[in-house]
Amino acid sequence: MIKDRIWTLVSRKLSGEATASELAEIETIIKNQQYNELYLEAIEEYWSLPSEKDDEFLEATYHLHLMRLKEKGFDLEADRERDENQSLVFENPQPATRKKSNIKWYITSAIISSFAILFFILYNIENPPGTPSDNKNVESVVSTKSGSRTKIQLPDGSSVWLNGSSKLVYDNKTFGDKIRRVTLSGEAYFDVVKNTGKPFIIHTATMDIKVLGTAFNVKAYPGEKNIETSLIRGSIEVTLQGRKGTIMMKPNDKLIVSNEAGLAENNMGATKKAVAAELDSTVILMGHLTIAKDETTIVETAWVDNKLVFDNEPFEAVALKMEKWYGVSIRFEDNKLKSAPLTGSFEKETIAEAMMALQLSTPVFKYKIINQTITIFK
Amino acid sequence: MKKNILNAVAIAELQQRIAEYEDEVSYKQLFFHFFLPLKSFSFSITKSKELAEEIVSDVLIEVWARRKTLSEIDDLKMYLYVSVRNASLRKVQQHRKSGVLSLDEVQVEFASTDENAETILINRELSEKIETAIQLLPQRCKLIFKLAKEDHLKYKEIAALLNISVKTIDHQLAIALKKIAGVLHISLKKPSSQ
Repeated sequence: MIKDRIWTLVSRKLSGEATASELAEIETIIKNQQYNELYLEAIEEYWSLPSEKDDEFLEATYHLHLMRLKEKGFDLEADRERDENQSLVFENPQPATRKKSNIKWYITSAIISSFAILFFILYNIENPPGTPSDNKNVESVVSTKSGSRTKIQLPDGSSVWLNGSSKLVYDNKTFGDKIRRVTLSGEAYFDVVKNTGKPFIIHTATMDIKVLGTAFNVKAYPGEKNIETSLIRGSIEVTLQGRKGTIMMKPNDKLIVSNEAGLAENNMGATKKAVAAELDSTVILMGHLTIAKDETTIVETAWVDNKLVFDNEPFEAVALKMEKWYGVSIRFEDNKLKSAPLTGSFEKETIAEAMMALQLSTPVFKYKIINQTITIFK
Repeated sequence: MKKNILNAVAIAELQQRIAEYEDEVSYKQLFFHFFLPLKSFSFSITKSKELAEEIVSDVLIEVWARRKTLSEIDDLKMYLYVSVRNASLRKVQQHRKSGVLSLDEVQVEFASTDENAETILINRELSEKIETAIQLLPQRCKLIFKLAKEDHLKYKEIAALLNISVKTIDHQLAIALKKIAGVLHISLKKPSSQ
């Protein structure tokens, strides 16, 4: 009898149904050596073995599904180039009766599945898994100096605005083969061309961002406390290194991740919002984008329009932004000034004009500019 | 696309984004997450892969068609499984007389385990032995085992879907695990035993 009891208990445990007392009961049974713990461990391991991934099949099936949706008047991915396979299959469109459309569904399913399998086989013949397809990787590196900004276009047509002291690297040869992959250090605004079949992935030192087609800003400077991701439109999926699962972002979301082991410091100013419940609040904060006083400028992406905007941010954070903007270095002689909140916006001002303008706002301070170094004191 | 097991929170998030933003990326993720398990559930009733694919596709088209009122569904996962069950039974009914789910007549196919998946205790050979043993279980037992293990359904969800009691699930799963233990008994030697 006890033997059957253990299997009921273990089933419950594996299905996440066991109560605390049932879990304790399992422990007792093991402790009394009524059953070999090794079996239980083995069964647990078997239970959680992953199933085979069949993304090729799913992609092909999803194609078909989209066609069936279209037949019913729902045109998803309308802006997407039609796949060659589809025109092959639908050479002679006929007014489809129920029966016919069923048959079509079966046949196209078979054809597209075989295409998918064929592609997969060919791909693997040409590029045996595990061996790099070509050792002569052609790396493209675009980098900006402090105080300069640039805009580049990637081979797929996506645009990237690169802020000061930033670097974007991608492989000219493999970019867009299956995945559009770039590596970023610093800050960039991405406007990614939609292509569902070729995900766009951005690697940074602490996280990876996967996109299908969207516009967003990533700020990942080495040495700065936080890494920030701000989403303007579309949707993206963020994977943090050393963390299971992904974080999905909606438009208007801003994700702040600590660049170091410590806390994610919230410098979102007045708009700081509650931390999403499932996130680990010590490392990650989820909030909203900051809208500047003119009610049209988004602070996080203003730099793309050549505007330096800050909204109720500590002087220290503003100084960091100005360093990158003007290519200067800013030092504080008075530590109290570092946390004084500042609000403002610069567009065509020189560094001298900007410093004068800042002096007019609340915290009273003096400064001197010697070469490219600015010292701030009381 | 990632095929991690989505938890209830993540599914609710996809649901919300489809409803609020007509978000096609979320819809695709939903498709990728549910298509295979739902197809395989439908197959166990219809015993036809083509029919199962069509049924699941129809159910997911309905999700997009009613996206504006999608938030009204309390539990999207159960909505999908119940819709697929009902549609599958309707299809079967067209061919045969009965539209009642008979658990002894289902045909269950398991998703194959990832070839590279091995753990400390379970190697490829052993997992194949276990799978062979499970294939020999009665269909009813296999279906319940599959829904718990592969589809991560809760007992009360399985009970609602198959119209059986939680007690039956307890009993059937114990049978399946005992069977697996039988395989392991031959293959795994207790380190301390002579």
